[in-house]
Amino acid sequence: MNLVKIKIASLVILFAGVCFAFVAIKQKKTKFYVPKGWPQTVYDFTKNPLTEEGFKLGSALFFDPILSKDNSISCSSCHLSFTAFTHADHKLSHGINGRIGTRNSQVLINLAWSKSFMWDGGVNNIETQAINPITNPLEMDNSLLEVVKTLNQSSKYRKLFYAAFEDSTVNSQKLLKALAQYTSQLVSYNSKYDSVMRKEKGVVFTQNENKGYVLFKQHCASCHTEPLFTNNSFENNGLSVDDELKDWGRMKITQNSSDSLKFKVPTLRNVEFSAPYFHDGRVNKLKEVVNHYTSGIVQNKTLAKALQNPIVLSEQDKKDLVSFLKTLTDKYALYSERYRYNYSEIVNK
Amino acid sequence: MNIKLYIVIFLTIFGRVATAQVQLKLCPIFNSLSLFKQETKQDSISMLRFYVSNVQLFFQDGTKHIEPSSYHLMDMEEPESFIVHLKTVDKPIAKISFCLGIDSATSVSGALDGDLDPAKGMYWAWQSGYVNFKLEGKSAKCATAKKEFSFHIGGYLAPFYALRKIEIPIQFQQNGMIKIEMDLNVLLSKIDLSKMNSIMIPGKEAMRVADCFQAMFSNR
Repeated sequence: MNLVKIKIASLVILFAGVCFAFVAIKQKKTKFYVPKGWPQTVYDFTKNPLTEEGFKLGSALFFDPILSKDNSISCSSCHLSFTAFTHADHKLSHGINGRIGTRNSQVLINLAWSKSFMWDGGVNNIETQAINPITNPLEMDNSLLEVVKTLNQSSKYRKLFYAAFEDSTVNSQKLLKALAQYTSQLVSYNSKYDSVMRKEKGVVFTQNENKGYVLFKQHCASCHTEPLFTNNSFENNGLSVDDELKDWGRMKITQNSSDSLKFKVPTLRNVEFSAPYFHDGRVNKLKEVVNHYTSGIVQNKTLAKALQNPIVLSEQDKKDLVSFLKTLTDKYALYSERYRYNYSEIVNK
Repeated sequence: MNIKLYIVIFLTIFGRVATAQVQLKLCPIFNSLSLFKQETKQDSISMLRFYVSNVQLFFQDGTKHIEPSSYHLMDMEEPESFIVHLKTVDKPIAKISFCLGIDSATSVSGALDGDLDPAKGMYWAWQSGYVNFKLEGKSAKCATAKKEFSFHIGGYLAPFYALRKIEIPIQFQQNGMIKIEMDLNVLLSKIDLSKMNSIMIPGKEAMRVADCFQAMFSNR
Protein backbone atom coordinates (compact mmCIF):
# COMPACT_ATOMS: atom_id res chain seq x y z
CA MET A 1 0.00 0.00 0.00
CA ASN A 2 2.74 2.40 1.09
CA LEU A 3 4.81 1.42 -1.91
CA VAL A 4 1.92 2.31 -4.25
CA LYS A 5 1.56 5.68 -2.50
CA ILE A 6 5.25 6.42 -2.89
CA LYS A 7 5.08 5.43 -6.52
CA ILE A 8 2.10 7.71 -7.15
CA ALA A 9 3.73 10.54 -5.21
CA SER A 10 6.95 10.24 -7.20
CA LEU A 11 5.02 10.16 -10.44
CA VAL A 12 3.16 13.32 -9.43
CA ILE A 13 6.43 15.02 -8.53
CA LEU A 14 7.96 13.93 -11.83
CA PHE A 15 4.93 15.18 -13.74
CA ALA A 16 5.02 18.52 -11.91
CA GLY A 17 8.72 18.80 -12.63
CA VAL A 18 8.20 18.19 -16.32
CA CYS A 19 5.37 20.74 -16.37
CA PHE A 20 7.51 23.25 -14.52
CA ALA A 21 10.40 22.78 -16.91
CA PHE A 22 8.02 23.21 -19.79
CA VAL A 23 6.52 26.37 -18.33
CA ALA A 24 9.93 27.74 -17.41
CA ILE A 25 11.14 27.81 -21.00
CA LYS A 26 7.85 28.61 -22.62
CA GLN A 27 7.82 32.20 -23.89
CA LYS A 28 4.74 34.31 -23.86
CA LYS A 29 3.86 34.84 -27.50
CA THR A 30 2.51 38.23 -28.49
CA LYS A 31 0.69 39.24 -31.61
CA PHE A 32 1.37 42.31 -33.68
CA TYR A 33 -1.78 44.37 -34.12
CA VAL A 34 -2.52 45.87 -37.53
CA PRO A 35 -5.22 48.55 -37.19
CA LYS A 36 -8.31 48.14 -39.30
CA GLY A 37 -7.87 49.57 -42.79
CA TRP A 38 -4.07 49.71 -42.52
CA PRO A 39 -1.77 47.92 -44.95
CA GLN A 40 -0.04 44.69 -43.94
CA THR A 41 3.37 45.17 -42.35
CA VAL A 42 6.49 45.11 -44.48
CA TYR A 43 8.42 43.34 -41.72
CA ASP A 44 7.94 39.58 -41.83
CA PHE A 45 7.24 38.65 -38.21
CA THR A 46 7.24 34.92 -38.99
CA LYS A 47 11.05 35.13 -39.08
CA ASN A 48 11.15 36.79 -35.66
CA PRO A 49 8.12 35.55 -33.72
CA LEU A 50 7.22 38.14 -31.12
CA THR A 51 7.35 37.18 -27.48
CA GLU A 52 7.07 39.19 -24.29
CA GLU A 53 10.56 37.98 -23.33
CA GLY A 54 11.99 39.09 -26.67
CA PHE A 55 10.41 42.52 -26.27
CA LYS A 56 11.79 42.89 -22.73
CA LEU A 57 15.26 41.90 -23.89
CA GLY A 58 15.07 44.32 -26.80
CA SER A 59 13.91 47.05 -24.44
CA ALA A 60 16.75 46.36 -21.99
CA LEU A 61 19.29 46.54 -24.84
CA PHE A 62 17.75 49.68 -26.30
CA PHE A 63 18.28 51.63 -23.08
CA ASP A 64 21.67 50.16 -22.19
CA PRO A 65 24.95 52.01 -22.94
CA ILE A 66 26.61 48.56 -22.91
CA LEU A 67 26.24 48.64 -26.71
CA SER A 68 28.63 51.58 -27.10
CA LYS A 69 32.41 51.35 -27.16
CA ASP A 70 32.99 53.27 -23.91
CA ASN A 71 29.71 52.37 -22.22
CA SER A 72 28.50 55.97 -22.46
CA ILE A 73 25.54 56.11 -24.85
CA SER A 74 22.56 53.93 -25.65
CA CYS A 75 20.02 53.88 -28.47
CA SER A 76 17.79 55.95 -26.23
CA SER A 77 20.42 58.72 -26.01
CA CYS A 78 19.21 59.91 -29.40
CA HIS A 79 15.79 58.24 -29.45
CA LEU A 80 13.83 59.37 -26.39
CA SER A 81 10.39 57.93 -25.80
CA PHE A 82 8.81 61.23 -24.70
CA THR A 83 9.80 62.93 -27.95
CA ALA A 84 8.52 60.32 -30.38
CA PHE A 85 11.87 58.52 -30.09
CA THR A 86 13.89 61.31 -31.60
CA HIS A 87 16.36 63.72 -30.00
CA ALA A 88 14.74 67.00 -29.02
CA ASP A 89 16.88 70.12 -29.43
CA HIS A 90 19.63 68.24 -31.28
CA LYS A 91 19.95 68.90 -34.98
CA LEU A 92 22.38 66.04 -35.63
CA SER A 93 22.79 62.73 -33.86
CA HIS A 94 25.37 62.46 -31.10
CA GLY A 95 27.99 59.80 -30.46
CA ILE A 96 30.56 58.84 -27.87
CA ASN A 97 33.09 61.49 -26.75
CA GLY A 98 30.74 64.24 -27.90
CA ARG A 99 31.13 63.26 -31.56
CA ILE A 100 28.46 64.65 -33.85
CA GLY A 101 26.91 62.71 -36.72
CA THR A 102 25.75 63.97 -40.08
CA ARG A 103 21.99 63.55 -39.85
CA ASN A 104 19.03 64.26 -37.59
CA SER A 105 18.00 61.21 -35.57
CA GLN A 106 14.70 59.91 -36.88
CA VAL A 107 11.49 59.14 -35.04
CA LEU A 108 10.93 55.45 -34.34
CA ILE A 109 7.24 54.98 -35.07
CA ASN A 110 5.43 52.27 -37.00
CA LEU A 111 8.71 50.89 -38.32
CA ALA A 112 7.14 47.53 -39.14
CA TRP A 113 5.55 49.27 -42.14
CA SER A 114 8.80 50.80 -43.32
CA LYS A 115 10.35 49.48 -46.53
CA SER A 116 13.78 50.95 -45.86
CA PHE A 117 15.65 52.65 -43.05
CA MET A 118 17.88 55.69 -42.57
CA TRP A 119 17.35 59.02 -44.36
CA ASP A 120 18.87 57.60 -47.54
CA GLY A 121 17.10 54.23 -47.32
CA GLY A 122 20.45 52.40 -47.38
CA VAL A 123 19.26 49.78 -44.92
CA ASN A 124 16.82 47.16 -46.15
CA ASN A 125 15.67 45.44 -42.97
CA ILE A 126 14.77 46.64 -39.49
CA GLU A 127 16.98 43.90 -38.03
CA THR A 128 20.17 45.07 -39.69
CA GLN A 129 19.44 48.76 -39.08
CA ALA A 130 20.90 48.60 -35.57
CA ILE A 131 24.32 47.60 -36.94
CA ASN A 132 24.67 51.23 -38.08
CA PRO A 133 24.49 53.11 -34.78
CA ILE A 134 26.46 50.34 -33.04
CA THR A 135 29.38 50.44 -35.50
CA ASN A 136 29.34 54.02 -36.81
CA PRO A 137 32.48 55.77 -35.48
CA LEU A 138 30.41 58.95 -34.96
CA GLU A 139 27.86 57.08 -32.86
CA MET A 140 28.63 54.06 -30.66
CA ASP A 141 31.90 53.25 -32.45
CA ASN A 142 31.76 49.60 -31.45
CA SER A 143 31.97 46.33 -33.36
CA LEU A 144 29.41 43.53 -33.39
CA LEU A 145 32.08 41.09 -32.21
CA GLU A 146 32.85 43.27 -29.18
CA VAL A 147 29.20 43.79 -28.27
CA VAL A 148 28.51 40.06 -28.51
CA LYS A 149 31.57 39.35 -26.35
CA THR A 150 30.50 41.90 -23.71
CA LEU A 151 26.93 40.60 -23.61
CA ASN A 152 28.17 37.01 -23.27
CA GLN A 153 30.12 38.10 -20.18
CA SER A 154 27.03 39.58 -18.54
CA SER A 155 25.03 37.20 -16.36
CA LYS A 156 22.08 39.59 -16.56
CA TYR A 157 21.98 39.38 -20.35
CA ARG A 158 22.69 35.67 -20.50
CA LYS A 159 19.53 35.20 -18.43
CA LEU A 160 17.52 37.57 -20.61
CA PHE A 161 18.74 35.91 -23.82
CA TYR A 162 17.91 32.52 -22.38
CA ALA A 163 14.40 33.70 -21.53
CA ALA A 164 13.91 35.07 -25.02
CA PHE A 165 15.65 32.44 -27.17
CA GLU A 166 16.04 29.36 -24.91
CA ASP A 167 19.75 29.79 -25.41
CA SER A 168 21.95 31.95 -23.22
CA THR A 169 24.75 32.22 -25.80
CA VAL A 170 24.55 35.61 -27.43
CA ASN A 171 25.28 36.09 -31.10
CA SER A 172 24.68 39.06 -33.36
CA GLN A 173 21.57 37.52 -34.88
CA LYS A 174 19.83 37.20 -31.51
CA LEU A 175 20.97 40.68 -30.48
CA LEU A 176 19.59 42.25 -33.66
CA LYS A 177 16.36 40.25 -33.61
CA ALA A 178 15.74 41.23 -29.98
CA LEU A 179 16.29 44.91 -30.77
CA ALA A 180 13.88 44.54 -33.71
CA GLN A 181 11.27 43.02 -31.40
CA TYR A 182 11.35 46.24 -29.41
CA THR A 183 11.65 48.79 -32.21
CA SER A 184 9.07 47.14 -34.47
CA GLN A 185 6.53 47.33 -31.66
CA LEU A 186 6.85 51.08 -31.15
CA VAL A 187 3.53 51.86 -32.77
CA SER A 188 1.23 54.82 -32.97
CA TYR A 189 -2.41 54.63 -34.01
CA ASN A 190 -4.21 56.32 -31.13
CA SER A 191 -3.95 59.98 -31.97
CA LYS A 192 -6.93 62.31 -32.15
CA TYR A 193 -6.74 61.93 -35.93
CA ASP A 194 -7.16 58.15 -35.54
CA SER A 195 -10.12 58.57 -33.19
CA VAL A 196 -11.80 60.91 -35.66
CA MET A 197 -11.19 58.50 -38.53
CA ARG A 198 -12.59 55.65 -36.44
CA LYS A 199 -15.62 57.86 -35.74
CA GLU A 200 -15.21 57.37 -32.00
CA LYS A 201 -17.99 58.82 -29.93
CA GLY A 202 -17.56 62.48 -29.05
CA VAL A 203 -14.25 62.97 -30.91
CA VAL A 204 -14.41 65.49 -33.73
CA PHE A 205 -11.94 67.86 -35.38
CA THR A 206 -12.29 71.53 -34.43
CA GLN A 207 -13.13 73.84 -37.30
CA ASN A 208 -9.48 74.84 -37.67
CA GLU A 209 -8.25 71.24 -37.59
CA ASN A 210 -10.81 70.33 -40.19
CA LYS A 211 -9.71 73.15 -42.50
CA GLY A 212 -6.13 72.08 -41.90
CA TYR A 213 -7.00 68.49 -42.84
CA VAL A 214 -8.48 69.67 -46.14
CA LEU A 215 -5.32 71.68 -46.87
CA PHE A 216 -3.18 68.73 -45.84
CA LYS A 217 -4.93 66.39 -48.26
CA GLN A 218 -4.56 68.99 -50.98
CA HIS A 219 -0.88 69.89 -50.52
CA CYS A 220 0.92 67.27 -48.41
CA ALA A 221 -0.77 63.89 -48.64
CA SER A 222 0.78 62.77 -51.92
CA CYS A 223 4.02 62.13 -50.04
CA HIS A 224 2.82 62.05 -46.42
CA THR A 225 0.15 59.52 -47.25
CA GLU A 226 -2.39 58.37 -44.67
CA PRO A 227 -2.59 56.38 -42.49
CA LEU A 228 1.21 56.10 -42.02
CA PHE A 229 1.78 59.70 -43.13
CA THR A 230 4.61 58.60 -45.39
CA ASN A 231 4.53 56.88 -48.76
CA ASN A 232 7.91 55.26 -48.01
CA SER A 233 9.50 56.98 -51.02
CA PHE A 234 12.46 59.33 -51.44
CA GLU A 235 11.90 62.90 -52.49
CA ASN A 236 13.77 66.14 -52.90
CA ASN A 237 11.69 68.57 -50.84
CA GLY A 238 13.50 71.66 -52.05
CA LEU A 239 15.93 72.19 -49.18
CA SER A 240 19.14 74.00 -50.05
CA VAL A 241 22.35 71.98 -49.77
CA ASP A 242 24.16 72.49 -46.47
CA ASP A 243 27.68 73.70 -47.37
CA GLU A 244 29.31 71.84 -44.53
CA LEU A 245 27.44 68.53 -44.66
CA LYS A 246 27.20 68.34 -48.46
CA ASP A 247 24.66 65.56 -48.11
CA TRP A 248 23.28 64.28 -51.41
CA GLY A 249 20.97 61.79 -49.73
CA ARG A 250 19.69 58.83 -51.69
CA MET A 251 22.23 59.32 -54.48
CA LYS A 252 24.96 57.98 -52.20
CA ILE A 253 23.15 54.64 -52.18
CA THR A 254 21.97 54.31 -55.78
CA GLN A 255 24.76 56.36 -57.44
CA ASN A 256 22.07 57.61 -59.74
CA SER A 257 22.02 61.38 -60.32
CA SER A 258 18.22 61.31 -60.51
CA ASP A 259 18.30 60.55 -56.77
CA SER A 260 20.38 63.60 -55.91
CA LEU A 261 19.10 65.46 -52.82
CA LYS A 262 16.35 62.93 -52.23
CA PHE A 263 15.67 61.83 -48.68
CA LYS A 264 13.21 59.44 -47.15
CA VAL A 265 9.75 60.94 -46.60
CA PRO A 266 9.39 60.86 -42.80
CA THR A 267 6.14 60.00 -41.05
CA LEU A 268 4.34 62.98 -39.52
CA ARG A 269 2.94 61.02 -36.62
CA ASN A 270 3.84 62.77 -33.35
CA VAL A 271 5.42 65.55 -35.40
CA GLU A 272 4.46 68.05 -32.68
CA PHE A 273 7.17 66.49 -30.47
CA SER A 274 9.80 65.44 -32.97
CA ALA A 275 11.56 68.79 -33.54
CA PRO A 276 14.00 69.71 -34.94
CA TYR A 277 12.84 68.91 -38.45
CA PHE A 278 14.25 67.78 -41.80
CA HIS A 279 17.20 65.42 -42.40
CA ASP A 280 19.69 67.85 -40.90
CA GLY A 281 17.43 69.28 -38.22
CA ARG A 282 17.69 72.76 -39.67
CA VAL A 283 14.39 74.14 -38.35
CA ASN A 284 12.80 73.98 -34.93
CA LYS A 285 9.17 74.93 -35.36
CA LEU A 286 6.32 73.43 -37.36
CA LYS A 287 5.51 76.93 -38.59
CA GLU A 288 8.98 77.12 -40.15
CA VAL A 289 8.44 73.75 -41.82
CA VAL A 290 5.23 75.03 -43.41
CA ASN A 291 6.96 78.27 -44.42
CA HIS A 292 9.65 76.25 -46.20
CA TYR A 293 7.02 74.65 -48.42
CA THR A 294 5.35 77.96 -49.26
CA SER A 295 8.38 80.20 -49.70
CA GLY A 296 11.65 78.30 -49.23
CA ILE A 297 11.66 75.78 -52.08
CA VAL A 298 14.95 75.67 -54.01
CA GLN A 299 14.27 74.72 -57.63
CA ASN A 300 16.30 71.75 -58.79
CA LYS A 301 16.11 69.00 -61.41
CA THR A 302 15.14 66.37 -58.89
CA LEU A 303 12.58 68.47 -56.98
CA ALA A 304 9.46 66.48 -56.02
CA LYS A 305 6.66 66.76 -58.59
CA ALA A 306 4.19 67.81 -55.93
CA LEU A 307 6.36 70.82 -55.10
CA GLN A 308 7.01 72.09 -58.61
CA ASN A 309 4.03 74.43 -58.48
CA PRO A 310 4.10 76.94 -55.64
CA ILE A 311 1.95 76.19 -52.63
CA VAL A 312 0.05 79.31 -51.63
CA LEU A 313 -1.25 79.47 -48.08
CA SER A 314 -2.60 82.41 -46.08
CA GLU A 315 -1.39 82.97 -42.53
CA GLN A 316 -4.66 81.48 -41.28
CA ASP A 317 -4.22 78.46 -43.60
CA LYS A 318 -0.79 77.84 -42.09
CA LYS A 319 -2.19 77.98 -38.57
CA ASP A 320 -4.96 75.58 -39.55
CA LEU A 321 -2.48 73.19 -41.14
CA VAL A 322 -0.35 73.17 -37.99
CA SER A 323 -3.41 72.54 -35.83
CA PHE A 324 -4.23 69.54 -37.99
CA LEU A 325 -0.63 68.24 -37.68
CA LYS A 326 -1.02 68.40 -33.91
CA THR A 327 -3.96 66.00 -34.09
CA LEU A 328 -1.34 63.37 -35.04
CA THR A 329 0.03 63.52 -31.50
CA ASP A 330 -0.47 60.16 -29.84
CA LYS A 331 -0.18 60.44 -26.06
CA TYR A 332 -0.58 56.70 -25.65
CA ALA A 333 2.53 56.13 -27.72
CA LEU A 334 4.48 59.01 -26.17
CA TYR A 335 3.82 58.10 -22.57
CA SER A 336 3.38 54.35 -22.78
CA GLU A 337 4.96 52.61 -19.80
CA ARG A 338 5.70 49.70 -22.10
CA TYR A 339 8.07 51.81 -24.17
CA ARG A 340 9.97 53.27 -21.27
CA TYR A 341 13.32 52.70 -19.63
CA ASN A 342 13.38 49.74 -17.27
CA TYR A 343 10.16 48.35 -18.67
CA SER A 344 11.38 44.82 -17.96
CA GLU A 345 12.04 45.76 -14.35
CA ILE A 346 8.77 47.69 -13.98
CA VAL A 347 6.74 44.66 -15.02
CA ASN A 348 8.81 42.22 -13.00
CA LYS A 349 8.01 44.01 -9.72
CA MET B 1 13.97 -11.24 -36.68
CA ASN B 2 13.24 -10.58 -40.28
CA ILE B 3 12.70 -6.89 -39.62
CA LYS B 4 16.06 -6.60 -37.85
CA LEU B 5 17.72 -8.28 -40.80
CA TYR B 6 16.09 -5.85 -43.19
CA ILE B 7 17.23 -2.91 -41.09
CA VAL B 8 20.81 -4.18 -41.10
CA ILE B 9 20.71 -4.68 -44.88
CA PHE B 10 19.09 -1.27 -45.39
CA LEU B 11 21.70 0.48 -43.28
CA THR B 12 24.64 -1.26 -44.97
CA ILE B 13 23.41 -0.25 -48.39
CA PHE B 14 21.90 3.17 -47.88
CA GLY B 15 23.77 4.19 -44.75
CA ARG B 16 27.02 4.14 -46.69
CA VAL B 17 25.55 6.06 -49.62
CA ALA B 18 24.12 8.70 -47.30
CA THR B 19 27.46 9.31 -45.60
CA ALA B 20 29.49 9.32 -48.82
CA GLN B 21 31.06 12.70 -49.41
CA VAL B 22 32.40 14.70 -52.22
CA GLN B 23 34.87 17.39 -51.31
CA LEU B 24 35.16 20.57 -53.28
CA LYS B 25 38.49 22.19 -52.54
CA LEU B 26 39.39 25.67 -53.71
CA CYS B 27 43.11 26.26 -53.96
CA PRO B 28 44.05 29.97 -54.03
CA ILE B 29 47.25 30.57 -55.97
CA PHE B 30 49.39 33.69 -55.97
CA ASN B 31 52.61 34.04 -57.98
CA SER B 32 52.37 30.34 -58.88
CA LEU B 33 52.44 29.31 -55.22
CA SER B 34 49.69 28.24 -52.86
CA LEU B 35 48.49 31.33 -51.02
CA PHE B 36 48.83 29.37 -47.78
CA LYS B 37 52.58 29.01 -48.41
CA GLN B 38 53.38 32.52 -49.54
CA GLU B 39 56.54 34.18 -48.31
CA THR B 40 56.69 37.82 -47.34
CA LYS B 41 57.78 39.72 -50.40
CA GLN B 42 57.13 43.11 -51.83
CA ASP B 43 54.09 41.79 -53.61
CA SER B 44 51.80 40.00 -51.22
CA ILE B 45 48.23 39.22 -50.28
CA SER B 46 47.22 40.18 -46.75
CA MET B 47 43.55 39.32 -46.97
CA LEU B 48 41.43 37.02 -49.06
CA ARG B 49 37.87 36.41 -47.89
CA PHE B 50 34.89 35.59 -50.04
CA TYR B 51 31.54 33.85 -50.13
CA VAL B 52 30.81 30.74 -52.15
CA SER B 53 27.10 29.98 -52.32
CA ASN B 54 24.61 27.77 -54.13
CA VAL B 55 27.08 24.97 -54.92
CA GLN B 56 25.79 22.58 -57.58
CA LEU B 57 27.32 19.41 -59.02
CA PHE B 58 26.32 18.20 -62.47
CA PHE B 59 27.07 14.49 -62.88
CA GLN B 60 27.97 12.87 -66.17
CA ASP B 61 24.85 10.69 -65.90
CA GLY B 62 22.68 13.79 -66.22
CA THR B 63 21.68 14.02 -62.54
CA LYS B 64 22.69 16.87 -60.30
CA HIS B 65 23.23 17.67 -56.66
CA ILE B 66 22.22 21.04 -55.23
CA GLU B 67 23.69 21.70 -51.80
CA PRO B 68 20.95 22.81 -49.38
CA SER B 69 21.47 26.14 -47.55
CA SER B 70 24.74 26.55 -49.33
CA TYR B 71 26.72 29.48 -47.89
CA HIS B 72 30.45 29.27 -47.27
CA LEU B 73 32.74 32.03 -46.08
CA MET B 74 36.28 31.24 -47.24
CA ASP B 75 39.09 32.98 -45.40
CA MET B 76 42.82 32.61 -46.10
CA GLU B 77 43.43 32.69 -42.34
CA GLU B 78 41.52 29.40 -42.12
CA PRO B 79 42.65 27.04 -44.91
CA GLU B 80 39.99 24.44 -43.95
CA SER B 81 37.32 26.97 -44.87
CA PHE B 82 38.28 26.41 -48.53
CA ILE B 83 36.90 22.86 -48.44
CA VAL B 84 33.18 22.28 -48.99
CA HIS B 85 31.91 18.90 -47.85
CA LEU B 86 29.04 17.82 -50.04
CA LYS B 87 26.77 15.00 -48.91
CA THR B 88 26.31 13.21 -52.18
CA VAL B 89 27.39 10.15 -54.12
CA ASP B 90 30.90 10.01 -55.51
CA LYS B 91 30.35 9.52 -59.23
CA PRO B 92 31.78 11.16 -62.35
CA ILE B 93 31.12 14.89 -62.45
CA ALA B 94 30.85 16.84 -65.69
CA LYS B 95 30.60 20.35 -64.30
CA ILE B 96 30.30 22.26 -61.07
CA SER B 97 28.79 25.66 -60.50
CA PHE B 98 28.60 28.04 -57.58
CA CYS B 99 27.93 31.68 -56.96
CA LEU B 100 30.69 33.96 -55.84
CA GLY B 101 28.79 36.15 -53.41
CA ILE B 102 25.42 36.34 -51.71
CA ASP B 103 22.15 36.58 -53.62
CA SER B 104 19.69 39.49 -53.33
CA ALA B 105 16.98 37.54 -51.51
CA THR B 106 19.39 36.54 -48.74
CA SER B 107 20.72 40.10 -48.61
CA VAL B 108 17.32 41.46 -47.59
CA SER B 109 16.57 38.71 -45.04
CA GLY B 110 17.60 40.58 -41.91
CA ALA B 111 19.98 39.27 -39.27
CA LEU B 112 21.40 35.86 -40.17
CA ASP B 113 23.83 33.54 -38.39
CA GLY B 114 26.63 31.10 -39.14
CA ASP B 115 28.83 32.15 -42.06
CA LEU B 116 26.27 34.89 -42.81
CA ASP B 117 26.61 36.46 -39.33
CA PRO B 118 27.21 40.18 -39.99
CA ALA B 119 29.80 40.07 -37.18
CA LYS B 120 32.07 38.11 -39.57
CA GLY B 121 33.09 41.44 -41.06
CA MET B 122 31.66 40.76 -44.50
CA TYR B 123 28.63 43.01 -44.12
CA TRP B 124 28.10 46.65 -44.99
CA ALA B 125 26.05 48.50 -42.41
CA TRP B 126 25.35 51.88 -44.05
CA GLN B 127 24.25 50.21 -47.26
CA SER B 128 22.84 46.83 -46.30
CA GLY B 129 24.33 43.82 -47.95
CA TYR B 130 27.22 41.41 -47.94
CA VAL B 131 30.69 42.06 -49.21
CA ASN B 132 31.02 39.16 -51.65
CA PHE B 133 34.77 39.28 -52.00
CA LYS B 134 37.64 41.00 -50.20
CA LEU B 135 41.17 41.05 -51.54
CA GLU B 136 43.86 43.18 -49.94
CA GLY B 137 47.59 43.29 -50.34
CA LYS B 138 50.61 45.10 -51.70
CA SER B 139 51.86 45.54 -55.21
CA ALA B 140 54.69 47.58 -56.68
CA LYS B 141 52.27 48.61 -59.41
CA CYS B 142 50.12 50.67 -57.03
CA ALA B 143 50.69 54.38 -57.42
CA THR B 144 50.20 55.12 -53.73
CA ALA B 145 52.93 55.59 -51.15
CA LYS B 146 52.18 52.42 -49.24
CA LYS B 147 51.71 50.39 -52.45
CA GLU B 148 48.58 48.83 -51.01
CA PHE B 149 45.46 47.69 -52.79
CA SER B 150 42.12 46.89 -51.27
CA PHE B 151 39.12 45.57 -53.13
CA HIS B 152 35.80 45.02 -51.36
CA ILE B 153 33.38 43.78 -53.98
CA GLY B 154 29.65 43.59 -53.30
CA GLY B 155 26.23 44.99 -54.15
CA TYR B 156 22.88 43.22 -54.28
CA LEU B 157 20.73 45.76 -56.12
CA ALA B 158 20.40 46.27 -59.86
CA PRO B 159 22.17 47.73 -61.77
CA PHE B 160 25.10 46.94 -59.48
CA TYR B 161 24.34 43.34 -58.53
CA ALA B 162 27.84 41.96 -58.05
CA LEU B 163 27.08 38.26 -57.51
CA ARG B 164 28.62 36.09 -60.22
CA LYS B 165 27.81 32.52 -61.18
CA ILE B 166 30.97 30.53 -61.75
CA GLU B 167 30.86 27.41 -63.92
CA ILE B 168 33.77 25.01 -64.18
CA PRO B 169 33.95 21.92 -66.40
CA ILE B 170 35.47 19.02 -64.49
CA GLN B 171 38.16 16.87 -66.02
CA PHE B 172 40.03 15.68 -62.97
CA GLN B 173 38.48 14.18 -59.89
CA GLN B 174 39.93 11.64 -57.52
CA ASN B 175 38.46 9.76 -54.56
CA GLY B 176 35.60 12.18 -54.22
CA MET B 177 37.87 15.22 -54.30
CA ILE B 178 37.53 18.02 -56.83
CA LYS B 179 40.27 20.61 -56.79
CA ILE B 180 39.57 24.04 -58.18
CA GLU B 181 42.48 26.35 -58.68
CA MET B 182 41.83 30.03 -58.01
CA ASP B 183 44.60 32.09 -59.56
CA LEU B 184 44.62 35.56 -58.01
CA ASN B 185 47.19 36.82 -60.52
CA VAL B 186 44.61 36.33 -63.25
CA LEU B 187 42.26 38.70 -61.45
CA LEU B 188 44.97 41.24 -60.58
CA SER B 189 46.25 41.22 -64.17
CA LYS B 190 42.84 42.44 -65.28
CA ILE B 191 42.92 45.42 -62.94
CA ASP B 192 45.20 48.34 -63.74
CA LEU B 193 46.61 48.82 -60.23
CA SER B 194 48.43 52.00 -61.22
CA LYS B 195 45.05 53.65 -61.82
CA MET B 196 42.80 51.84 -59.40
CA ASN B 197 43.82 50.31 -56.12
CA SER B 198 40.72 50.60 -53.96
CA ILE B 199 37.04 49.73 -54.29
CA MET B 200 34.88 49.97 -51.17
CA ILE B 201 31.33 50.40 -52.47
CA PRO B 202 28.93 48.76 -54.90
CA GLY B 203 29.00 50.37 -58.34
CA LYS B 204 30.44 50.23 -61.84
CA GLU B 205 34.02 49.46 -60.75
CA ALA B 206 32.87 46.65 -58.47
CA MET B 207 30.85 45.21 -61.35
CA ARG B 208 33.90 45.27 -63.62
CA VAL B 209 36.02 43.38 -61.09
CA ALA B 210 33.20 40.89 -60.51
CA ASP B 211 33.12 40.23 -64.25
CA CYS B 212 36.70 38.98 -63.98
CA PHE B 213 36.00 36.38 -61.29
CA GLN B 214 35.21 33.48 -63.63
CA ALA B 215 38.64 33.60 -65.30
CA MET B 216 40.40 32.82 -62.00
CA PHE B 217 38.93 29.34 -61.69
CA SER B 218 39.98 26.11 -63.31
CA ASN B 219 39.94 22.40 -62.50
CA ARG B 220 43.46 21.00 -62.21
